[in-house]
Amino acid sequence: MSTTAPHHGINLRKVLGPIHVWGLGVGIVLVGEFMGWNFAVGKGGALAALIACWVIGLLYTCVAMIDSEVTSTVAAAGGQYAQAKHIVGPLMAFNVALYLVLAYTMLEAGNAFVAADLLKTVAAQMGHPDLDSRPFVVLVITSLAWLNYRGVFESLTFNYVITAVAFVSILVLFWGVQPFSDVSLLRHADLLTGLPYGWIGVIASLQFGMWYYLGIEGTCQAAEECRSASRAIPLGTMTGMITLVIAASLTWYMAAGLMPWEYLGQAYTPLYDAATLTGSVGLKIFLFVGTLFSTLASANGCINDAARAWFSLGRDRYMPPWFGAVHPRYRTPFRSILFLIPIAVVFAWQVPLDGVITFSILAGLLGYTFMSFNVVRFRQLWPLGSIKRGYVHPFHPLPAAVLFMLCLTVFFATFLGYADYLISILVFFMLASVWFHLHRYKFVKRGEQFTMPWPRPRGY
Amino acid sequence: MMDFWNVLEYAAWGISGGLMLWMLIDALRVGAEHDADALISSREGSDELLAFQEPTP
Repeated sequence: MSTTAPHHGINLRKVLGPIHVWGLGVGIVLVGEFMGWNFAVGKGGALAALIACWVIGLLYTCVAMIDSEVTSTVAAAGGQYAQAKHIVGPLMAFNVALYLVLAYTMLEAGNAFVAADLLKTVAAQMGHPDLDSRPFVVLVITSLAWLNYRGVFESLTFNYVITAVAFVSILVLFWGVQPFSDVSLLRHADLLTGLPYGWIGVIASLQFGMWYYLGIEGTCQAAEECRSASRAIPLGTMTGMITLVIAASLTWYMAAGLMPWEYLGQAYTPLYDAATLTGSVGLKIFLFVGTLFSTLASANGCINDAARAWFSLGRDRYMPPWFGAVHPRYRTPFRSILFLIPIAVVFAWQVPLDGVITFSILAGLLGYTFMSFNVVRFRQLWPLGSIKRGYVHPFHPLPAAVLFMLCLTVFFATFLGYADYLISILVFFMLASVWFHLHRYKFVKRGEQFTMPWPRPRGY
Repeated sequence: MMDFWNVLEYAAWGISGGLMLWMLIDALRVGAEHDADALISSREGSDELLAFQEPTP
């Protein structure tokens, strides 16, 4: 019988439960309900956005199920990186970690930019149109990084609370538009005008449909800090996914019933606009708070996840081991958190928002595509019964096959609108892979990478 | 004359700078007071599930 030997080094603190995992996953994503998803409406009309909501919901349900099974056994910071390292190999693990770090850091930068821009909008409405948003971008990034530096329990408890407030604001808005009343404000019969660009518009809308759920897989990064990863990760991820399907469906229902698709497809803050249309000052203020909290929750979760991925790379010497340090008092990956602050600030100041969004979507898609291969290989190497799993996803290999087909479809959708981004990101990762193979892999301690106390894989 | 929003801008710069400085000083202090190998001694996590593996078939 193989057992885990006690280790007395300075480790990350195991303090998280399912609610923190829920707060992390939903917190990263929920901003997508407040803004971003509605560009799917611009691509194919309101009905196309609803189809995208549910089709991409299926894609992410597959992601959540597969992630829950694998992460409940690979309880390591780095999430999908650690999974790829154990199941496939170093080159894929390096690529996965790199796009985790870049995607989360860019998403963090985008959120900080939006939070500062919301403040700028308020200042303009109060007679100060030329507010400099740069100090507020830096304030959001440094204050949340400081919170992360001081402890994972504090930062993810904060995330849980502000995410819950943002989610409640969506529920309150739904109640405010009186959907079941005779005097309801919703006008679906007048505003739903079919598919203006036909079925190709539906395909094109899938890219922005990702925005309803993008980032829920970030729950895996918390695995090493959970009191019981085998329980907390599946529970937090699955309840998070259910929360997001509810939030996405309600969001679409309200926005599509209040605004014509031509406006909705290019609106900046559609849920806040919906609250404005109700005429209620209270709802308007609450939705503003919800929007702001959702951007802060997303930025905070992204800092947490990017730092864990970068820390894991340092710990395994894929990057200099200096980054793999844990703070002796706060038990956080403090050097990784610090290192990523200036990078996030530069992204927020220099990279256009649509570029950030598209890059994040593509990085996520690459990860999900690999995930479908990962889980098939995982089940081949360690069949059911050979190792204990905290969760076993049903109907294998159907979810993996569905995930792969849906990823290919969304790649095609992205190619329709952002072929240059797609090609750029693929070239970037190819060059990074060559660099890793030629210059970095020689520093990796190959024998120490496989850390899980599993039996020898089948066939080896 | 500075209005409320100008004060807020300077306050944001000031708080950001203060927090950044705090983290930098703390990180340098930790690096100076602790052995470098001890700081990077963490190992990938294990769960209670993993401590009781089934016998290898």
